[in-house]
Amino acid sequence: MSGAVWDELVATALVGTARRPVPGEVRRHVEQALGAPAPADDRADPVERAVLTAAGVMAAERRAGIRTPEAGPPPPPAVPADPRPEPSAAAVQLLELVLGGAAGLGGSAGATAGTALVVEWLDRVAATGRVVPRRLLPALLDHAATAAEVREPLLAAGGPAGPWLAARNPSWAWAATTDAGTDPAARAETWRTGTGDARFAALAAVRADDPAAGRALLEETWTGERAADRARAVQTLAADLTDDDEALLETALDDRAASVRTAAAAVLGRRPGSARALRMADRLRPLVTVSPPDPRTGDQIRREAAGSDRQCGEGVGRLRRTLAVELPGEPDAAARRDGIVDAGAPPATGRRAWWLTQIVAGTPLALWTDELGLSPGTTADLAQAHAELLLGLTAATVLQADATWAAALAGHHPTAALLALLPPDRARDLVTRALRTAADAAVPGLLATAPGPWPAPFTVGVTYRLQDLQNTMALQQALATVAVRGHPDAGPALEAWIATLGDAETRRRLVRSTTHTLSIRRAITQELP
Amino acid sequence: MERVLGLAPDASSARAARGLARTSTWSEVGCTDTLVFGRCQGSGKEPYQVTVDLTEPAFRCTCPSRKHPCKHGLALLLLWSEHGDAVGEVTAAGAVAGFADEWQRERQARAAGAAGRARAPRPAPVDPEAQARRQAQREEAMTAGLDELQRWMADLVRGGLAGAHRQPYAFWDAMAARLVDAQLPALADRVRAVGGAIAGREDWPDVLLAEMGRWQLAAHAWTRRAALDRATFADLRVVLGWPWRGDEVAAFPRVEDRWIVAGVAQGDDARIASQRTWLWGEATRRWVVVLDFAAAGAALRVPQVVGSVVIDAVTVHPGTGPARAAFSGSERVTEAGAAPPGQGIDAALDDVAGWLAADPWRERVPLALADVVLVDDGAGWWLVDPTGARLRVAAGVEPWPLLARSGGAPAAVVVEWDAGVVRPLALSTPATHPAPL
Repeated sequence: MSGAVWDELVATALVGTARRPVPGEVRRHVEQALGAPAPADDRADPVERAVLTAAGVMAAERRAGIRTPEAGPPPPPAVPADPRPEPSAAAVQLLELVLGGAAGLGGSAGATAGTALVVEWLDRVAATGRVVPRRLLPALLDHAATAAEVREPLLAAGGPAGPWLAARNPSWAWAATTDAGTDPAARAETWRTGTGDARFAALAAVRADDPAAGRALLEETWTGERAADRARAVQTLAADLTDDDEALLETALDDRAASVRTAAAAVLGRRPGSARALRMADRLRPLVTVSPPDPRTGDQIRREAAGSDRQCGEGVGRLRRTLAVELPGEPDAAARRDGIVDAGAPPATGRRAWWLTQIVAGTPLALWTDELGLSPGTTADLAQAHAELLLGLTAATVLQADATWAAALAGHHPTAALLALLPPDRARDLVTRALRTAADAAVPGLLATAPGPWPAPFTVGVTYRLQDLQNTMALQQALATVAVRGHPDAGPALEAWIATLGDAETRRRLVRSTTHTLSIRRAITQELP
Repeated sequence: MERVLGLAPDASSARAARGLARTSTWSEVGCTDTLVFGRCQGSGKEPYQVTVDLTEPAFRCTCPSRKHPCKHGLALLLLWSEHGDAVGEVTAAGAVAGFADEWQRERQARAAGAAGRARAPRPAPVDPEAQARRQAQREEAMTAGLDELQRWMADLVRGGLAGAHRQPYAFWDAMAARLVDAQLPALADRVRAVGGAIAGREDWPDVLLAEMGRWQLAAHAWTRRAALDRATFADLRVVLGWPWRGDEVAAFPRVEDRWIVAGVAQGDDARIASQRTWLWGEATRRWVVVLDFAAAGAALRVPQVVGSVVIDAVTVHPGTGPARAAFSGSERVTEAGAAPPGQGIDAALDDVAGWLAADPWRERVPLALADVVLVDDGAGWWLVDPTGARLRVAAGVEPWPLLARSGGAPAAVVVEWDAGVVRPLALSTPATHPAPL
């Protein structure tokens, strides 16, 4: 059948048979199709009826004859099978329960808990050597589009189907493969010619396998990079940092862009053996006076500190040592080059105090032990009187990732960054101690620093402390942490608490929702053994 | 539990139902041998009254959801299936909640009425003469209505359709109302719908002229109805909207078979909810469709589970293509995991051509496709078979469930073909049972 005849017919109908004659071929077509002459002319409107009849016949023919002769794009390859088994039907139902938002976790706190549960489910699936059933991936990818913390676990547990699906849906672009493969040449090519995140993912991948090769790649394009990319590349060096990276970082300290200089100073701060660290030590040394000097050697002190359970106050009574710290003068050009700045001081901190903090933060911690003969615990004790010093020591400890110093400092002020350097049990012990004296308002923040998952005794201890909280807002925030990190075995303790709450409706609801989340987490563990 | 969730109209309902299947959201829960009932606290002030009749099962809920069964009914059934008779304390007291009792009485009364009508001997009072007179009057009215429609269309074509797409809906509604008066309700629906169908379309002249052509064919066929074979005349009755009388339906043949539930489609018209259950007969190797309708807010029949096999002697209406059918009421649902045999796209389109040649008014037909993959060509999604033959997927169909389930590997897909585009209804792979999409 000819498309031209149909077009002719439509054109006639559009203009109107009053103005345009019906083409003869249309008539012939109708007669042929009906196997009879067009409807008899003795009826009304013979021409119009012929046009309409032809339209009806041809419409059916056209519809029935719809074929798509031209070839389309070839199907993309199917996703390779993931050999890992799928979770049980019961485990899948748990996830659907959480994803459906129907787990009884109301409000924004509920959404956070829901996301935490999704993450836990995915982590558990991956950890037990299973793979997410493919049919669940669209809902999970949708969830991860707004909840970024789901992304890594989803990629780990989702198998190759996740990136495969995501490559077809722009709103899941984050999950589409940015991996340039494992071929070093391909990764290098991505770094040289790619754009955005994919470049830095390639650089990080090369660095992880071969730090020198990664640095060489960066040096190759260094002068052509935009300032923002230079700064980001410097930050990429922070992972897998080696001594050989120092020259490039020193170059970056002289960069014309402040962001690159700041980034380089921050990365160099992680290396107590770097030239910058030694320069910082030179700046600090004249400012600090300790009396009387310790007769022990630095090695002795470090050994004692490392072997000691008493990490704070050690030696204080015995030696009655004192620490005097002078504030530095205006930084010279070299100090400015090393990243000493005026901006970013904590509130109510003078400029000189802020400079001191930065100098201490950049100085190797060994200066205190090896040169000044102070143990970390003693230093921490003595520094309690000098806020700017304490701040600098804390920053240095975090940058240099020193667990001994972290233990000493966290005994006074547990911060999340310090506790993260400690074994989780030790960190939680410190939190437990701090919880005893902490003000209500500080409790949620303290709990947030305690690394999870929490063991049952710690969780139960926390719930006892929370029962004393008067502030409902603080209680809500604290319970949100209990819900996602606490041990499900704390359920009975929470139930007992609920029983004491009487008609305190709000508190009952908060605790009830926590037990609910804990029970779902228990079920996740049970269904994914 | 799987069986319960299989009743859900879609995945989100199933998920929501699981979430509600907790005792804390329910009050006054109880059950009898045939009923489960309870009140579910929803977002509204008053709890929804939910009742499930276990014999079918059939659902009723006072919630405003248009899905059927709604999540509350499913959740109640889940609760019951998990806890059995232990649901609620009411059981012991033997008291049935008022709303549940009332509903069951209504249903029993209706069922008794239907059974009575079916069982009663041919009602004697039917006066053949009166019936013939009524039929003659109806045919006269229909003839007059179709004449008017033809004159109206002829005037349009004479003056030109150029301005037709700018006509307000009232223009089409007015003609539709006259067709309703002429006892041509199905044709009236088509006329009413065309205003919306051509709105905002580039190719509206093609769509409008083709549709008007179909109306003209119907009118033309009506004038020759005495010469039409029975099946074609049945097709014509469907397009015009001349329903079969109860005694005519009762005389339709019953076809016994193992009917595979190949796919279920639900229509979402604002005024009426509809559901098409496509069945494939294993022995008869033919398609039939069970249609269910309900006014908005009322209960649609709970869909059969895709992949299950229904053993039944269904009543099959006359007609040329995949025929309308109705379950006998004593159907038996057996194993799951069955799918109709698939075919290549070219062979499937040959079937379509055959059906449309016989019934040019036919809108939707089912196709079981073998080994198809879903491909995106930048403008839309296509189902492609191993020969490279392609079928366009209807705009607005979410491709992700199909893509995720198939993983891009060839799969058996049951689709509803509608005017050249397809809507996937169910998918199965060598490793997985048929699942609704």
